[in-house]
Amino acid sequence: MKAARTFSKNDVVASYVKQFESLAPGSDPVWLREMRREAIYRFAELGLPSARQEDWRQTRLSSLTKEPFVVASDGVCPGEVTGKRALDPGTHREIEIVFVNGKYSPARSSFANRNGLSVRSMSDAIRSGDERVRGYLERTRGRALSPQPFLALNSAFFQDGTCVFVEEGVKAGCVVYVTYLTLDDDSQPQTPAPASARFIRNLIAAGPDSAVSVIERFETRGEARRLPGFLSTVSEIFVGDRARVDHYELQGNGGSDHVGLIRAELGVKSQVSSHSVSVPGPFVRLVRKDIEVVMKGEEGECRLSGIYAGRGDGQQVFRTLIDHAKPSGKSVQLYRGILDGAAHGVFSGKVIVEPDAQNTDAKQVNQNLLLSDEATAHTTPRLEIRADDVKCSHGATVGQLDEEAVFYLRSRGVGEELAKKMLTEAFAAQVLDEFGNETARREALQLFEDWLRGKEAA
Amino acid sequence: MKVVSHAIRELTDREYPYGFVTEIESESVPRGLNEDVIRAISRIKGEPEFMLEWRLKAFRHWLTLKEPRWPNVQFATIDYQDIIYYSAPKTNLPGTSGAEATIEEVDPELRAMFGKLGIPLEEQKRLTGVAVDAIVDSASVATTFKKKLGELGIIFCSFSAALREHPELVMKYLGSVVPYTDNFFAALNSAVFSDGSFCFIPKGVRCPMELSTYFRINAADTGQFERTLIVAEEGASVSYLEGCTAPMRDRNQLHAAVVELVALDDASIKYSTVQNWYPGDKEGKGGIYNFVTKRGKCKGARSKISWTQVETGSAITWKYPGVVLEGDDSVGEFYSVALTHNFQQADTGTKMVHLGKRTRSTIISKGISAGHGQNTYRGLVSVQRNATDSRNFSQCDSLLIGNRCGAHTIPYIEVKNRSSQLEHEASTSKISEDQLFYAKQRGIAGEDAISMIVNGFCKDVFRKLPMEFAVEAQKLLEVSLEGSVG
Amino acid sequence: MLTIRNIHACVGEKEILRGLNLEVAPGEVHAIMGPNGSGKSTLAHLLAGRESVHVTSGEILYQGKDLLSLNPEERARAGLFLGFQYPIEIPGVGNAYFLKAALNSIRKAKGLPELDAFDFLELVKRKMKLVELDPKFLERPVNQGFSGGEKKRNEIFQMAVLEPTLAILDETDSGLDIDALKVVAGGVNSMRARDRSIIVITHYQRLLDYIVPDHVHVLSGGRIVRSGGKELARSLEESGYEAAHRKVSEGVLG
Repeated sequence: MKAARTFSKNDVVASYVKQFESLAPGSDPVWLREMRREAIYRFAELGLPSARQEDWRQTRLSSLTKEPFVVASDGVCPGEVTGKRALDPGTHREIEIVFVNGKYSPARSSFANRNGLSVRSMSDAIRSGDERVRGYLERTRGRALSPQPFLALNSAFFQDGTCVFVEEGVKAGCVVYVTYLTLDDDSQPQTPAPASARFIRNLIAAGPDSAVSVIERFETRGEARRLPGFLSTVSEIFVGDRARVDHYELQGNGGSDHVGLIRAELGVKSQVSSHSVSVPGPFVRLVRKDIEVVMKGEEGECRLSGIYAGRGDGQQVFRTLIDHAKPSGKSVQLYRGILDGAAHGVFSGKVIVEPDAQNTDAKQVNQNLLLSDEATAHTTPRLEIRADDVKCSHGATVGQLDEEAVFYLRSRGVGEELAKKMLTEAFAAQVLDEFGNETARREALQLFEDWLRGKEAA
Repeated sequence: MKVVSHAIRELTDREYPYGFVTEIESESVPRGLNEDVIRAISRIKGEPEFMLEWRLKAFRHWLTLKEPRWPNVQFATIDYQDIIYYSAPKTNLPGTSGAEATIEEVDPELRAMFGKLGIPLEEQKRLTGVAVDAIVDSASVATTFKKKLGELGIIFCSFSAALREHPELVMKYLGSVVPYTDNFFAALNSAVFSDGSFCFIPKGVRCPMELSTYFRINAADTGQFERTLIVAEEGASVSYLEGCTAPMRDRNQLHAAVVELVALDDASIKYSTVQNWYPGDKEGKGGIYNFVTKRGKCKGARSKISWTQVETGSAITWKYPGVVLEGDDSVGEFYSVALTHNFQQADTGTKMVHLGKRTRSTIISKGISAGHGQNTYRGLVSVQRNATDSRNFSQCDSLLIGNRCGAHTIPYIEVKNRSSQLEHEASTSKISEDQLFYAKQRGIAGEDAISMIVNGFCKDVFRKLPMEFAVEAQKLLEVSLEGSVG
Repeated sequence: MLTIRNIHACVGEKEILRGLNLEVAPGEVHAIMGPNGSGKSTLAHLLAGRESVHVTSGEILYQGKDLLSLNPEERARAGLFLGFQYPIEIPGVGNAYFLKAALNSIRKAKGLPELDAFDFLELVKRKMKLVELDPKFLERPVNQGFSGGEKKRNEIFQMAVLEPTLAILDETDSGLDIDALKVVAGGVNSMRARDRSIIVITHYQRLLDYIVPDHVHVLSGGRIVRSGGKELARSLEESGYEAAHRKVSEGVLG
């Protein structure tokens, strides 16, 4: 549009490094400053990924690599100043943490005091000097199972996020709602500002024998849906022995391209689930989600599921990697893509069973519904097995709605269009059956139904 | 795994039975690769000018390429200057290459070698009903049944003979499916290929017998770079068999073949391979690097190309026999059994590229890993925008024997229109104690039970092989599995 | 009610129906019997509007209107119901949701108000008793995880809810044990009415002991080769289809 000059990938990398160097030191403690510095070096070293790398083969990165984004600077949360737009007054939740345009909004958040559960914004948690935060963040130091330049970039720049700690043995009814709200920034004049990048970092750590559910919702309102941008999210989940974490990511119609990473580490007999629904708006070029799970203890269990639906010409990529490092683990993956218009969906799943991991039971399913001749589905369900006493299977399908089923419905008087809608909804709803939390399931269904009715274009 | 180990240990020490070396005089070009070597190969073979030009273009392109590396295959760097690119058994008649010799003229040592391999080379074995083109090291040594096939207009001869007698056909189809730019090893093959088989089935002719090529690497330090080209004209059909063995040598040897198949309207080509190159010893020393490019093009409407392979040999196998489904309503099939044992590595699969409307493809892959064997299925199914109403079904099953081996499945699937249906399934299993116990309880010995289970696992593929090959494949599997658990 | 005149129809390249004629008056129950491959199911699918069945010539009038010009849902809304031989499983679509969508589509087409969830549930519970179907089936996806018998009962239950004018039951008896057969037949019999016609397609005479037809037709080679009263079914049972067909052929020749 405005930029007459074209940028190379190296220019983009250099721009991030330069922005890092010009950052005000802020209130970061020394260890975090060190960590960020290390991360930006790592990012510079890794560079932006290219399609030649196996893990990025089918991902269209051009929207993120052609032009540098401006890292969103510290500012005041717009709603906080004007007091406008109260957030859904009717839906008060016991434990809810709200971010507006990436900034923690204390006024909109609410916490009930509860023994053994701590929910804070990442910035508060760091400021509090809680040693656990440092411990967990330094555990990975911006490294993942695979080289992840965006993890490094996130570690260098993250501004805020949610920090959830559950103490040993704490179980009953811990549901944490996290809302990331993007509003058009009406506190500032509407100048065509350069597209900005936001970095969100979440940390969820569940102590032994504890349980918690975290429901993350990404909501964009009004004109903000048309604004291009770049959203980087990293959620690290540590599940103690015999503990359980259920994680949800509900993503409706937004404007930003999104690159997200969810990493989970499981202890002995611990369980993690991560479920997502992704129905990005028509202006989004890329949604890329990486979900990596390492089973560090025996008898770990992992359930991943997701729906991705698209109608524009953007791309959505779901990449999963489950590392069965210890025996008797179980993993189930179910992802379904519903691709209309010129949408492009990619599923790239991988299950690794290490030599030690006998008795592993892994199941991986990806199914795609192509609703138009311009849509494209890619699927690569991979297995890498190095132990013999395992039960592993994967399946992938691409196709259209079952004609027999359409006929059956029509023969009962249901019109063709409605019949197809019902079947499409059913196709998605089956994935939602994996969602253990009823609120999350209902919201996910609502998002999908809105998409199905074409509301996202509005 | 107690039962398994006991049963299998009894068989442990049987060796690769085809590992003998035959003392045959051979003529070779100097070690190493440069344009002079290529000119020498072309000159020895008395090739037409266009062929030399093509070879040189391929060579120059090859120089610009890098040797590929794959995540699941490990091998030491190959020194391409330390390979002898042309080696052919010397014939008794001066001035003729092997292919021109009649059966009687073939070196008796050579005939004895094929006898040992059980290959019906001599005319008296005509009753087996299989026409054979035998290739030792780089040169074709004999083609049987030539006359009988000639009466039907079928051309079945060595590639060298085809270049001399039918240069226009070779020129028309060579490189039309696998261009020399295709990949590193295809480029290398295009530059240095020494011989191979050529087969042409004219319009409307159904080839009355199985055609077969038998490949053997005999000389040390040679690479084998053969090239096979099969063309089936409108309405023609042919079934083609390929078998391979090599002697035991400590050093790795390179085999980089190219196979091209072309099927015109309503034609059908069935290509079966039993690959049993020397796999290396129990410690993983020696063995063939089998880096092969095989592809068929269903050029015509309603044409059909079917690949069946049983891969039990080679230290490393890297091949993806594929089908480009260009003609409307064309059909591609891939049936594969790949077995890796000891330190063998196999990275094999197929590429099905759907371009025409209503094209159909089926993939059945059975991978068996034993010992330290690493078995990878890597496949691509691509349904392009215009390939409406197309279908694919893929099934990739892995069987693991022992806990030091690996089975990997990497299917790439890409669909660009909504009227096509695609289904991929995969499973991994092992031979269970329960299965073996059940068999033993019914009086079946351990090793028989294992081969029974493995054979059962592979049945869908064996059924696709021509009869005599199916029997050979089963036996091969039994032999290859010996000592699989220790 | 239904008039089929000299219908020729193909599935793919193959001609299956070759000049079939049939007349069904309101309130009548017709049984169509015939050996495997005689075209019974093709006829059923043709009537319901299956696109894979192509009519090459002939006409079909339903309530005096051209049936062939209607698409499947229009036929259903006009009161035509097909009980499938192999009811398809529709994962993810709840039975109740499905049936409510169907019922309200039909009601809307008739100019009746749509039923709300409460009225619908009441209606459905009443009808379920008819075929002794457990109410828990309402929550399950359409036909998924149902036994063969449950699927068939589900078909009759749907018929009871939708109250069609013309019901075609395609081999509703196949795969049923004698108890289930009685239940299904009871459901069908309770639906018999002066303004409703039923066509029962079956391979065996057994079903007709419970659903007694007014007319019996023998379908063979794509056309009706013999018609008669209910006693025809019994004679077929004794002498077989071959004999029935032969008799006709002889008759034609003689």
